[in-house]
Amino acid sequence: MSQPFKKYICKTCGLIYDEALGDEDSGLAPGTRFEDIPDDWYCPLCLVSKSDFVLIDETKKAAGAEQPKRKASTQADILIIGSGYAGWQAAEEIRKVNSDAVITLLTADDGAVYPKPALSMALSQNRSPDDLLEASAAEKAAELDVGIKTKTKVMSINTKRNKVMTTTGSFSYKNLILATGAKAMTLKPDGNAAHEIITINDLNAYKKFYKRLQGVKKVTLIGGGLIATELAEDLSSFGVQVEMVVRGSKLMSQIMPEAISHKLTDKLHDKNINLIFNSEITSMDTAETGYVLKTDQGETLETELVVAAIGISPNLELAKKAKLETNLGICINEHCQTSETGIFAIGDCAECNGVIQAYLEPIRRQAKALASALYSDSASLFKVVPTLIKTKTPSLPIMLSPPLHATHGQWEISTNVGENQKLLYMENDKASGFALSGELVKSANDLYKEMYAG
Amino acid sequence: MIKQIVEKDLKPLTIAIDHGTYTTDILGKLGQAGAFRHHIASQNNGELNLFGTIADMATVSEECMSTGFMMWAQSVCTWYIENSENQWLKSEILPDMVEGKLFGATALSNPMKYFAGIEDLKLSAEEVEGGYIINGTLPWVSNLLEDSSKHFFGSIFTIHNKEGKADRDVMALIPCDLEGLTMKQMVEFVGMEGTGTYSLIFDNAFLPKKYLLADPVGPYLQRIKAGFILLQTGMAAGVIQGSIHEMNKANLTLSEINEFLDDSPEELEEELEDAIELIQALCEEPYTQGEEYIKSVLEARLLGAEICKRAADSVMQHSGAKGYIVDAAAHRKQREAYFVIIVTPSIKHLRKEIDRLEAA
Repeated sequence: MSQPFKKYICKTCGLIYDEALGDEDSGLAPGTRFEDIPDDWYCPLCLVSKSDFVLIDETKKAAGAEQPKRKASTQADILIIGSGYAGWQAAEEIRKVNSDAVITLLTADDGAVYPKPALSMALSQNRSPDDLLEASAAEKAAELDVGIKTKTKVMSINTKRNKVMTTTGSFSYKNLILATGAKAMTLKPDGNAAHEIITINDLNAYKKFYKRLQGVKKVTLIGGGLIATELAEDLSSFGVQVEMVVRGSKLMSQIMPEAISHKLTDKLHDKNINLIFNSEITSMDTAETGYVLKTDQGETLETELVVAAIGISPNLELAKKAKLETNLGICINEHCQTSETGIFAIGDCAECNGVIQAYLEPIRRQAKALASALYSDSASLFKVVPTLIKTKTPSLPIMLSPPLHATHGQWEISTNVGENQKLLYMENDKASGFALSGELVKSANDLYKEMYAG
Repeated sequence: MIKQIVEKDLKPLTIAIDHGTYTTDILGKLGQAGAFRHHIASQNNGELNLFGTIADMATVSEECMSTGFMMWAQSVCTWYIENSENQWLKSEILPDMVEGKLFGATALSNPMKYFAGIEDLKLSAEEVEGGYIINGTLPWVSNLLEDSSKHFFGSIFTIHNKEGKADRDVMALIPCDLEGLTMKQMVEFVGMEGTGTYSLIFDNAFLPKKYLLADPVGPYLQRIKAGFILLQTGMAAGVIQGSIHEMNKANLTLSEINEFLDDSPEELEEELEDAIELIQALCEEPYTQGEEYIKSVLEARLLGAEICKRAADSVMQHSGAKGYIVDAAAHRKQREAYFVIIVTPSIKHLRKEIDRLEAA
């Protein structure tokens, strides 16, 4: 008898590789054992390597309460603000190169470790918010030998005295790492229920959303970008009637060529997702069951839950108050250092060469560069390169590598067979980005490597 | 103007007030000088300037936080009336209270703990023709005077129906000379003694309906909550500034040794400035709805209490033995600062509230 199939989870993004199902997109037939996967295989979602997958032990549940609290030093060598992926990743990479440094991590929330990309695909995976929890703050802190202070909001940074002031006292540092992330943008229409628009940018917000979602039959999503589209698919697969109100005329217009966008729109229509383009919500009021919305096109929509996914905005308040150089994000160099010696920034709050890359893969490289600058030979540098994105849109597999600056070029069709499309972003006769859909996504990794080799 | 009242009228009384002298003279003068007017748009040419009231409260609290606390009680009471729909209170009581001719207080400590799930509501009432019959006991309400027809406080009680079941909560303004209301000074506090603090015993006290502030109370509380909490930061800012003064004074002779202490006056000053900036920004739209805003308000108040905690410790250490003498300013600052830490909402209460907002 053969062994039962096992499941492996990507530590980075939470994608589950199920041996029973394989991963047909990357040519792994159902039944392919994890150990038989070639070593150069990538996580199809976040592109980390095979070694970043761990076996899911279904018998083990995340605990936490039993863990002793870890004392957070108020005089840290390394003080990290933020416990999202960037914050924990920074702690992990620094610990890899230095076992002695006193690391303190401060977080306004509970510091739980969870895969953020899973927030827009958990429903279809039938995972509850609790299932997403990979480790409690105490467990993760113990693993990395760092001190953590949860429920502690940093109110200001005193760069002169190398200290931060928080709602639970002050902490001094030798080096400070800002991993303050970004906040979900929202909109403020008129009406008595405008403040009840939900946004989702962390596990706590997702928990609230999940709770509200129970028993709800219809959800209105505001936004037409990557996350809004993924949420639409996820909610639809959960059996919820979905309506999308999109300001522009296409989905994901920032990163995706029109040809694929149209195809995806058709696929969403097929799933009975109602797409309302060129519309903005002007008012939101409570109704007997749920809300009534009005758009600038004169439409009246009735719905039970309203979720805005219209982008994120880096949390810059602390950096600005501390007079660090900021633009759209906190400006960093290739060592992830800000304009102030000894202060670094990483993740969704950081901007390098005018670009903010709010994706996991660049954050991993930032953390390595940061650790290298702090405790090693500074040889590892962070370079802004286009990232590879796999959209979580089961209706139509899509992989994209959008150009860093989509200003002077245009998308050109290279292959177009039904829903299988390949487009290249051409700038001065040179391809600086690509987009693949349907069967063609299988060539994404090769194309990506070819384009950005070296 | 406010500074002159502090120097000329308040300063000579500070120690007596700390020991238990209750006077409305200072409040009267402050009212005439406009200290309670900034945040009451209807009495301030339509302008709502919450931070203006906080700034005046801070100026006074720098010298005597007991008086600052009574200013808070007064300011919050006017805030209650201003935000109610009760035209009679607005025309008959509010103008004089803003002027400092009538005096206001707030008995919302218990209701706030009740809404945060910390305590049960202590007052209950039966609705009758033309008013309510109130029963129950409230501990520790300040800025009151026994049998005074000039003193009022805002309070919340549960209305019970005939079967004795709780129906709803309402809020009303209650005059100190209400029949059936007994006021007692039960305990002696280590500080803030001259603040007219009483236990209130309601024994079938009839309150006419004209005193009603809100029924139902829910949406009304949402409306007044941010202002209520933000106004308290005036006490915090003042007592921290007062502590910084004492520390600077101590440093005139002890600076060489004080350098070894953790929280220097310069550092506290920088942090206070940051905190004030934050509070000022939050004061601009005190009716902002939604959890994000109220969380920021709670965090600002928490920050004030946290800095108070350090200032309370540091002012004693900077002053050394001189601060340990009875009636030393440093010791008074320490006791006052601890009041900010423990008065509703206390540090633990604030942390619980923020945690609740954070969690699903």
